Amino acid sequence: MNAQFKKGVLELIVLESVRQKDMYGYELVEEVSKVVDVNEGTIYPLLKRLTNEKYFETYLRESTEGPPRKYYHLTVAGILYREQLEAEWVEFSERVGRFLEERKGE
Amino acid sequence: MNKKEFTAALRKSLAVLGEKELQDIVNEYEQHIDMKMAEGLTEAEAIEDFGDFQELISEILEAYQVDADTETESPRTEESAGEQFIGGIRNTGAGLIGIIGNAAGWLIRSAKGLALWLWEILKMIGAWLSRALKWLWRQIRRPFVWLFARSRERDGEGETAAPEGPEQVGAEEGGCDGRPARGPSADTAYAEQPGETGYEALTGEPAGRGRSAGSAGRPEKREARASGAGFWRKLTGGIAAVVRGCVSICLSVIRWCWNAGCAGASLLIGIVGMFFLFALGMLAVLLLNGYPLAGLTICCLGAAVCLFALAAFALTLIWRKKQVNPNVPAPADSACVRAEGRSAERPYAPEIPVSAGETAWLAERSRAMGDPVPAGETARSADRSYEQGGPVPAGGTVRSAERPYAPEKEPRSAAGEKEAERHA
Repeated sequence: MNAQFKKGVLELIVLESVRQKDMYGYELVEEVSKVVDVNEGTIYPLLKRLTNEKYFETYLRESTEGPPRKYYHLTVAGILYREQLEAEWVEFSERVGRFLEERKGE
Repeated sequence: MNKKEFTAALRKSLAVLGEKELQDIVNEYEQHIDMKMAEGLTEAEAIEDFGDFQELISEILEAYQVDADTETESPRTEESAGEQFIGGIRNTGAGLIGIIGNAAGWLIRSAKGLALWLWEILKMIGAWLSRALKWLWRQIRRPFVWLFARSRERDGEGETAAPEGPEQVGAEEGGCDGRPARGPSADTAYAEQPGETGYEALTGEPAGRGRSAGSAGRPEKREARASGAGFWRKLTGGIAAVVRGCVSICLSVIRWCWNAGCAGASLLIGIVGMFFLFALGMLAVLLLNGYPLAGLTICCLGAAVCLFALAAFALTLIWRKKQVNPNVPAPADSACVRAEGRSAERPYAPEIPVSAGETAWLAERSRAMGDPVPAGETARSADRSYEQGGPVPAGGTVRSAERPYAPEKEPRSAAGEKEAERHA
């Protein structure tokens, strides 16, 4: 998949993943990797940025398999931001799809 | 590249960030590597999955809104960068606080000036409205006052003055509280020319020879006049009472409606204000938790303050009834005082009233005893003297009630004594 496409839609996928349930970094990377083939290193900066912008809040939870894990939780602002991104994405994809369909018809 | 080298390179490249942030990032990547290794990958494979190292660093710095090019080219020590960052924040904060403080001070001063100016204007408008309402009230009340005054005059004329004539009104007519009037009566006060009684001035009929005041003393005329006066008195009194009652009821209804409207509006606005206050509290909590809701919080605060102020303003519009203090004397322009024909400022000092009946009787007795009619005798006796063909004494029709009768001290005959006893 085109890297620019992935970069544009990555935020929405991450937000939607965390909306379902709170996740830690590695778990989230695996979840996102199911949808798009993404460089794992880019997920952490993205999580950091979203946390700095108050769309995520983090907390530590003890793990039986090692050190405590940092979990990400979607905030109210994050929910609103996700809805906004979703609307934009739907509109964008519809327009592009319509445009492509029209071109095909010609 | 193994895990240790990777973390060391990461620390070096992200030196611009704070220690806590850096440690957080390193821990994340270490944990990721550990998990990859737990899945069976080697350290090198796990690190390769992160992609290009420089791109990773750029993305991380971008997430912290740090220019990756400048920061990587000239890395600074961690402390100095942190100090500079904190210092920058402090300077910016101090500048912002100063600007906000100045703006707030200016706003407060402006608001104070504006409030004072508005208060002055409101006071002027209030004074003007008060004057206008007073004038309007006077215009509305004028016909009723005239009506009441007329009714009262008729009362005095029919009940007390009629038997003795209008000249007695000054002596007989009392105040509203039954006290005798002091000074010139309302009737005598109406007299504009010498020789014209107050009755003449009021009714336009001569009180002298043609239809003398004393002629009203005849029983049939007295009764007719008394019944007519009573009818008119009752009629005007009834109309006045009805009008007064209607006005009072209308005013009460208007007042209650107005007060209910004001109180209801104040209550509604207060409830909405409470809702905004509640929202303000919630937003403040969310704001403290780091949510970007500062604008909304300020809006809620403004709305709450405005609504409470509006509710308080609505409460001030409630129409309160004036409390009458019984210790305070009646106002100078009271209808009662005006009807008495004396000034309100002049304190009431009871006098020994000059009884019209007594004066008349004395004059009668004096005549029976052959005494000359003294100056200052009542009009009634003068009129009677005129009817009987006797001379009309000077000042017979114009007599002040305040001018007491002073009989001459002369020996009286036995016939005069008998007449006096019979009269008594």
